[in-house]
Amino acid sequence: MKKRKAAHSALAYLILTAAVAMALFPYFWMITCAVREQKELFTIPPKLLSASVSLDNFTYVLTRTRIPAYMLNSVIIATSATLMCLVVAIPAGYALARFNFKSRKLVSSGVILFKLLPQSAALIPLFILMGKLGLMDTHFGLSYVHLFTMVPFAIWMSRGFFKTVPVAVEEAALIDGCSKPNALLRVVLPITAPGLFSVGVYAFMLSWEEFIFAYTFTSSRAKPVSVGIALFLGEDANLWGAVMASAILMGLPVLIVFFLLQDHFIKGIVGGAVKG
Amino acid sequence: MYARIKRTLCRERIIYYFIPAIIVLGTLALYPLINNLWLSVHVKSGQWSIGNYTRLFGDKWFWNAMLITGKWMLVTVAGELLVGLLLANLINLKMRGTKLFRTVLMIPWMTPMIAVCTVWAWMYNGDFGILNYGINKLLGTDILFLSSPSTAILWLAVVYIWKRSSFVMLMYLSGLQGISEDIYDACKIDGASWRTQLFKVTLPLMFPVIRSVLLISIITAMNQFTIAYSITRGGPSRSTELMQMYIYNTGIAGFQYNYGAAASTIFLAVVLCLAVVYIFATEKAEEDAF
Repeated sequence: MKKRKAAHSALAYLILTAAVAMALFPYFWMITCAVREQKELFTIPPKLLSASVSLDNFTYVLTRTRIPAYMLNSVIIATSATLMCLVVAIPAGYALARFNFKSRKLVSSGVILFKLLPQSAALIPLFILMGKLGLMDTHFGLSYVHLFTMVPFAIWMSRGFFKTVPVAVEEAALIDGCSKPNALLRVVLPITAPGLFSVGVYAFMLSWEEFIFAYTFTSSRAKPVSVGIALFLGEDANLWGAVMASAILMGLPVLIVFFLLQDHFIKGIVGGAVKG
Repeated sequence: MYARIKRTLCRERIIYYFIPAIIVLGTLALYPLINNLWLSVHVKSGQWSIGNYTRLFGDKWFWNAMLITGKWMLVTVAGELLVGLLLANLINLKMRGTKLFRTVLMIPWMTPMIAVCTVWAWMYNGDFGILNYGINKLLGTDILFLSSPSTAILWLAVVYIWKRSSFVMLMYLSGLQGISEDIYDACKIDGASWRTQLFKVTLPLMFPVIRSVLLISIITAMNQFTIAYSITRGGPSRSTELMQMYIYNTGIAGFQYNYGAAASTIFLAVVLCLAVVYIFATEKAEEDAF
C-alpha cells in the first residue's frame, strides 16, 4: 500500500515537473535569445545556449527604436485609465456588495454581461465616434476606451473584496457618529486597501497588454508598447534578438508585480470568475 | 410618513454609487452596441436596408471566419480544460512543494499576451525556430508549422492552451479546495475506490465549477484576437482569420463600416446567447455566495 502511494506521488511529481518545464521553456528561450549576438540566432541546428553573452539587443532597443517612447505612452495611458477605473468601479462594487435593493441581481448580471462582451462589438461605432470627437491617437482617448474591458472586471473584483468586510465593522462606525460616505472612506477603504490595490494593479495590466483597441485607435503619437512590439514583430528585418529583448522589457515589470501580489490576485480573479 | 420619505431617499441614493459606471459603460458599451445595430441595417448613404445581412450570408469569407472561430473554440477549450483539470488534481494532492509548482505554472497566464506571442512566433519560425527544428527532428518529419492552411490554427491553439491552462487550473483548484475533507474521510472508511470517489464525489460536487469554467472559456476563446493577429496576421490564405479579425479587416481596415457592423452584430448575438446561459447557470452559485 505504502509502496503504491510512493509510486503515485513520484508519477505526480514527474508530470508536474514536465509541465513546469513546458511552461518555462519559452522564457528560457526568450532570455537566451535576447542576450546572444545576431549571428548566433541564425544557426542550423539552433543552439540551446550561445557562446557569448551580450546586452547589445537591449541597448539597441533602448536607444535605436521607438520602444522606450511606446513604453512611456503605455505608462501614461495605463495609469490614467487605472485611476479613472477605480473612481468608477469602487462605488459600484461597494454598492453591489453592501446594499440590498430590488434590482441588485439584474445589475450584477449586467456587469457580468459587460465583462463578456467582445471588443469587436463596440469597435466600429467607437472608431467613428472617436474620429468625430478628435480623440483618435490621443492618450486620453485610448485610456478612456480601455475602461470598456477594465471597469466590469474592477467592479466585480472590488465587490468581492468589500464582501469580506463584516457589516458589523461599518455599523460600529455609524453608531459612533460616522456618516455613511465617511464610514466607507475612513473604515471600509483602509481595511480593503490591499485588495483594492490589487484591483488597481490588475486594471493597470489589462490596459498595459490590451491590443485590439490600441491597434485601432492609435497611429503614432499615443501608440502603446503592445502595438509597438506587434509591429516590430511584423517587420521582416529579422531582428529576433531585439524583439525578444523588447518583449522582456514589457513583460518583466508585470511578472514582478504579480509575484508580490499573487495571493490577492488569485482571490480576486478566481473568486469573481467562479461565483459568477 | 417621515419613515417612508427616508426610505425612498435611501433607496434613491443607491443609484448615485452607479452613476460613474453608468456614464462610462453607457458611452463605451451601450451606445456602441445600439449604434452598431443601426449601422448594420443601413447602407453607406444612410438609406435603410438589410442588404448588409443578405450580402453577409453569401460571403464566403464570413463563413470561413465563423468556421475557423468554431474550430478554434473547440480545440482550445478542450485543451485548456483537460490540461487544467489534470494539473489542478495533481496540485490538490497537497504534496510537498506543490505551492511552488502552482506559482510557477501561473507565470504564462500572467505574462502579457503580446510578449508570449513574440517568443512563440520565433520558436515557430520556419527557418531558425527551435520548435520547428526540434519537432521535425524528433518525428523525422518536415512539417512547415505556420505555412500550412490546414494546421496553422492548431499550432496557434497550442500557444493559447499553453497560456490559459493555468487559469483553468486555478479555478478548478478553488473548487476542489471547497470540498470538505470529511467527505473523503467518509469515503475511505466506506472503502470507496478512487474511481468511485472521482465519479461519485469529486465530479458531481465540482459540476458547478466545471460549468462556469466551460462557459467562460468558450466565450474567452471566441473573443481572441491578439495571437492570430500578431503571429500569422490571419494567414496563410486567411486560414487563421478569427471572427474578430474578420470584423476588424472588413469594418476598420476595409472602411466598410456598415458591412462590418452587420458581421459584428451577428457575432455579438452568438456571444450574448452564451453569456446569458452563463449568467443563468451561475445564478444559483451567486445566491449561495450572498
